[in-house]
Amino acid sequence: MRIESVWIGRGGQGIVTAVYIVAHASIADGFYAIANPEFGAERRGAPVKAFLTITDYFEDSPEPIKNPDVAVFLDDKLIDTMRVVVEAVKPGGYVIVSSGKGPEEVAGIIGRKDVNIAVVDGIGLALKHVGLAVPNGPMVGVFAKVMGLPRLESIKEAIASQLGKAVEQNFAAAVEAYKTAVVIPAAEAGSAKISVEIPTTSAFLTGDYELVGWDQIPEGGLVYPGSSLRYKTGSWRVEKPIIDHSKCIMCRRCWLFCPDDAVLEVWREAKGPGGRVVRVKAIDFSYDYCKGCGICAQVCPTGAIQMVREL
Amino acid sequence: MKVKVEVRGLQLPGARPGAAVEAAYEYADFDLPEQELFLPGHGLCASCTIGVIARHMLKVLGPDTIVVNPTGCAEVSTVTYPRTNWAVPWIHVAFGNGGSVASGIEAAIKVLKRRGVIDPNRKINVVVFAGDGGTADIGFQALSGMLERRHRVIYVMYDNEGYMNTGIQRSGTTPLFASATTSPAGKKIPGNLTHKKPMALIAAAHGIPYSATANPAYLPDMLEKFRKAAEIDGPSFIHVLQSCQPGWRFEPKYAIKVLELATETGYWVNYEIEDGKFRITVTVPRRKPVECFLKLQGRFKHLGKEEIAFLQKVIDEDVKRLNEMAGGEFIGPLDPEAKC
Repeated sequence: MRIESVWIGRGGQGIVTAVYIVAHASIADGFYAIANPEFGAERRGAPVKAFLTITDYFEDSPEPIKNPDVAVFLDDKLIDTMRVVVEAVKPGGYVIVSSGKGPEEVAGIIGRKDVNIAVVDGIGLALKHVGLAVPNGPMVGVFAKVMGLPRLESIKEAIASQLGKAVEQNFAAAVEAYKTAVVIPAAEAGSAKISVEIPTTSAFLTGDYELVGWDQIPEGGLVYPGSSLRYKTGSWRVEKPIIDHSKCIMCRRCWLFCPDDAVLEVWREAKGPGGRVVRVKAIDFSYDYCKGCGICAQVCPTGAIQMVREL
Repeated sequence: MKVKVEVRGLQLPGARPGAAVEAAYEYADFDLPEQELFLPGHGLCASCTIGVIARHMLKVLGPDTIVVNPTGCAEVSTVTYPRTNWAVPWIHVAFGNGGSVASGIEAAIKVLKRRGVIDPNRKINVVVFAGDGGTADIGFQALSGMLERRHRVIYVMYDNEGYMNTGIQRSGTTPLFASATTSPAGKKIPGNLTHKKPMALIAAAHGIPYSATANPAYLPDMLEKFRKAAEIDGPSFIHVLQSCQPGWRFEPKYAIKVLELATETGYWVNYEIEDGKFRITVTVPRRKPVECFLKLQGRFKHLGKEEIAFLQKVIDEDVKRLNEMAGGEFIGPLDPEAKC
């Protein structure tokens, strides 16, 4: 037996802990496991991937996985960015997604009929049980459900050894995910061979850039101004800011304190006296880059900005 | 864009009249350009105030600025090949030599101006944007040399009080009792046991024309300090406090709130030393207890009553010393009943 899985999430969602929990629980059940996370020089909120191989024989090869049996997404907004991972799953394999959307909708986003799809509202369960938007516990539970291993008791032990705190809450979240996850079985067998592989560079994580070979990089590693604009950090968001224009007094404190230049001053049309339509200046958000930190809502003196959950 | 500014410290609720010397500082009224030179699309953590500092630094200094960026959070997350979000010339240098490279750039500009390659009247700012590790610890000798040789360089130190990029190790500016991965809080030792280096005072001891501390929550004050530093013909040093969400462990939305509390509790005092004259630029009529600042942050959550009382004593003494240096009660007495 050999189960290869790729876990895709964001820094701060506990993805590294999640693979360690599954690895430790599998080892407790008598299997062998290798867990190796991979991330670049990026921050909390940036995409992270982790590899986990579970075998019933001893093997010592910490190689990156190219065609996984299981792909686990801790964030449904990463499916589009990481389409290559979905494409690389072996036919008959599993795609596990944490999403607040309905299972059918998620299956539509995934768009493959030859894989089994499991959907759970990981962030909702984590918020319910643990109080944090960290969906690693529920995802471990769903993994155990669809793969049939490791056992829940071993998962509890592994949570205790890896987290060391809030064990009961995380385990409760994992158990509820185990019970409530919706599994959509594969509709067709699919072709035996797939041509897509997960690239071994981590650079594919960071946007639609064309990467050139080492001999074509400009001297001194030169990069040009404005090249960051193609990196849409808006997908990092869990909550998004919305503004109530009737409360806004245009003090621009949100604009001053936004670290991501995501607060914009725009013209908007409003109903003036006598039914006339007038153009007034208003605050709007650039959702392409807003990371959803919530500073704007906190510094707003009138409470015009509210954060609403998006995932 | 015209931004209305106010001196925040004077509007604290419950201010005792006449307790602090009013309006120690006049704010110049200048427009903030709408143009962004620190573009979005960077990989800084959500709510990282490096973004706030860098945006406003470049708004004040303008497009004729060369940024020297030693290794640190700002460097690895803003410029990851193949992208950059600095719209000004930018160079990455090693951890230890920010000051040396900036010195070289400034000297080269001088020579090019003398030879007529660059218009001699063109004002080009050279800025070092370094973290606390690249300034107070590893880059200290390069900084000291730069200050001693009197290069016209603005040295901006964003201080997140630890090596946050590599996994929250302690640095020379980690405060007393903060828990870091190399100074973890345990049963016997309550976190870091050393005091924060007063970098602005150390820089001022070199006899440089301008040295200051700033806090991004008090934006007008910070902008004014950048403007002053750019006008001075000689080295200037600005120590900016920066809140770090993963390192200080607060909720992301409190990034500015925690900085406000740092000044309101007297933990962080905004001052400047211009030609040897010491001035406190943000007055606080009545200080809040330091507990207000500590309880928002996970790195201080292990502290008991005794340790908080000790920290309060340390801050009281610091404030007293700074007030003496400034020659007046600019940071007022502790108000134990103040609401956080």
